[in-house]
Amino acid sequence: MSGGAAPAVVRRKAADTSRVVLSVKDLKKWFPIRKGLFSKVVAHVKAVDGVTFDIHAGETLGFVGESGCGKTTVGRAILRLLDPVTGGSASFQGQDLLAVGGDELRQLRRKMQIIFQDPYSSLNPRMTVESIVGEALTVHGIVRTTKERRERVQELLKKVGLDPVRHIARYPHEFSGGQRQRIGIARAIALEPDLIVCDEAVSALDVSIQAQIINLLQQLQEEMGMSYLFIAHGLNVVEHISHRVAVMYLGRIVEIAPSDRLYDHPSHPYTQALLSAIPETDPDAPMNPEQLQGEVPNPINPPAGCRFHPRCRFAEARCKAKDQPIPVWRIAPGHEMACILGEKIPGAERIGEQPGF
Amino acid sequence: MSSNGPLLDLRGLRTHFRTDRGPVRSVDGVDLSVAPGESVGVVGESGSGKSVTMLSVMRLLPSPPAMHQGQALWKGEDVFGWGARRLRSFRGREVAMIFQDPMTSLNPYLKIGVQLTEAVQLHLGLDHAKARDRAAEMLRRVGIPVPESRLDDYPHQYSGGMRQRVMIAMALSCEPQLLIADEPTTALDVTIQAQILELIDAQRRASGTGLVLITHSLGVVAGMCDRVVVMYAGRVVEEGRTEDLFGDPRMPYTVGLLRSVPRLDVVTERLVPVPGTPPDPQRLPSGCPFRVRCPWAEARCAETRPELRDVAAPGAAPHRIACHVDITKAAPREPASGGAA
Repeated sequence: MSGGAAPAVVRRKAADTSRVVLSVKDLKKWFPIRKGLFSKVVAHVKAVDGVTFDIHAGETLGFVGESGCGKTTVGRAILRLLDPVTGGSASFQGQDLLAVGGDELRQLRRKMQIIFQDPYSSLNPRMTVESIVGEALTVHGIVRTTKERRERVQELLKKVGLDPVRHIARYPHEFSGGQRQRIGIARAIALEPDLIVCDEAVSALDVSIQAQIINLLQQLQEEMGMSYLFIAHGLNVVEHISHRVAVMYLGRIVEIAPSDRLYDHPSHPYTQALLSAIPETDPDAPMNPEQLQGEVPNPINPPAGCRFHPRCRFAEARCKAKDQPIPVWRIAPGHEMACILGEKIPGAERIGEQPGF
Repeated sequence: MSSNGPLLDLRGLRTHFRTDRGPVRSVDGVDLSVAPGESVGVVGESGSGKSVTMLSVMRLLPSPPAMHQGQALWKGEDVFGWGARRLRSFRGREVAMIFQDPMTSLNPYLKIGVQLTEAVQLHLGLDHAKARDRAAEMLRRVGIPVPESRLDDYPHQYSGGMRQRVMIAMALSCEPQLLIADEPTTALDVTIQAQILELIDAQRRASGTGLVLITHSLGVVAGMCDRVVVMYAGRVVEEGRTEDLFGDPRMPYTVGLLRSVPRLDVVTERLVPVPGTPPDPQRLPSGCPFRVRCPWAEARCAETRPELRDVAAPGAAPHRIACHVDITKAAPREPASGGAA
């Protein structure tokens, strides 16, 4: 995916593109809808419906999309929090992520952590900071004695910008939202994971605090070299932190590209509309020139053909045709998108297809 | 802007809450005015007092524990002097409010049509059939397809964006002179947010309604408002025309807020966050409450709390800040690295 012209300003430490940490192929997660006396399955919500991507060592891959597009489900599914998945495969550092169980899974979980959106509900109010951050260290046998654990927790608190002496014995309610998110981060990095899923990790925070946490995440990545799967609906935040960004719509990735490339040359109509909807902190910026009409369709009964066609300003009659495969195009190195009208983009090369609806 | 004075004029408004641990000074001397047809953005972090200010104006806070001081003048009359009857026509008819969460502001047991007709029957004295026609007309204006049939649906049958449209329809149904929107799009996706903002703006322009838009998003304010008011720790700390405030912020807190937002059009290696956390309203620092997070703070900032002063060029629109320091002349201290939140 590297190649391409080097950006003028290097603002993120480059990822190690030779090492793939996580490789996901055609991942599917459908939730059944049951009805009636015998809970018969009458339909499925295809929350994730064939998603393929890789994450490299030290890389941040951003996932954006409207609520219900499946971005959170992708994150949870690869952490094995939504077993069983409906289909597809995922390998983490060469190991089949979806097949392992028991001890192997426990070992894998050391290497994969999550930071949640809500710093208020994701910390146990009855545990001190020391036990919240140190619990996993004990469970995985990394520390033997209480003294060892305390020292390790203190190091971690220092790393995330908390006071190792004053804060260690306190309870979550004694902290502000930003500080709680720091505790959540300390917990996530305690086992020195290789991948952290950040699920809307900064969305609930005030702007000034949001910037502090984004900087902390970037700094930790530079020091420790882990990869992030960064899920958020705040597009400017995702652009800022990610090396590459995947745009999801109704369970599929519709466009994926290096971050600067995606924001400078969005090629899928949905990406273009999504970007034009971001309010910019510039009073002279034009407001929503390509405003997106309508809302996300009902995922139980999505439109046939291209799922985006009812809202797409370029849609043609052929976009509505049922059961046609959706072609996938390469626009530039590492820049791919799925659109029936993709051949209209100069330089687009057809590299595959997604199954139709 | 009309010449016959502001619609809403807050003078030294204070709202303190009595608690067992002493008073919480949520709103601590706010001066703010809105002219007819003007749109004013109120921004600030959580706890800065922006919502409590507007809830106080609407007289929606039970007292006690809320204790009000100062004046909130609606066309020259103090709302704190009004009885229940006057307030009833003020709320809904003259000023309408839209809240962040449309699900909790709609009654889940009542059909949308019932909730929409209630206000117009009460305030405009329409009979049932006319009120229903008007409700359908309002739903059409906010972009709800087939409004006649949607009147008999319940709130849960509407999506989040649709519910917010209903709230806007309800707020505008009595043609208020001022619309107060408290984080109207915070719970929505960016795409829906853009639609809702566009809708509020179009409706406002069409009917000449004044707007107070409370938000923490600087981007939303930049696109929507004529004037911006920045609040911190219960007071207005900077106020001016949108172009002036975004182009030439003069209060260090505003500077900090603007720098901490990642921008798509500007490449930044690292964001510059505002260090520290918003203050506890029960334990405000002495003097300027922002001084503990401020890279420009001087010794005098700990002594007196700065009053709002005009820093605009002579003859220009007012641009007021509450700050002792002239940041165009003084140099900031290097921010401490790391800076715990």
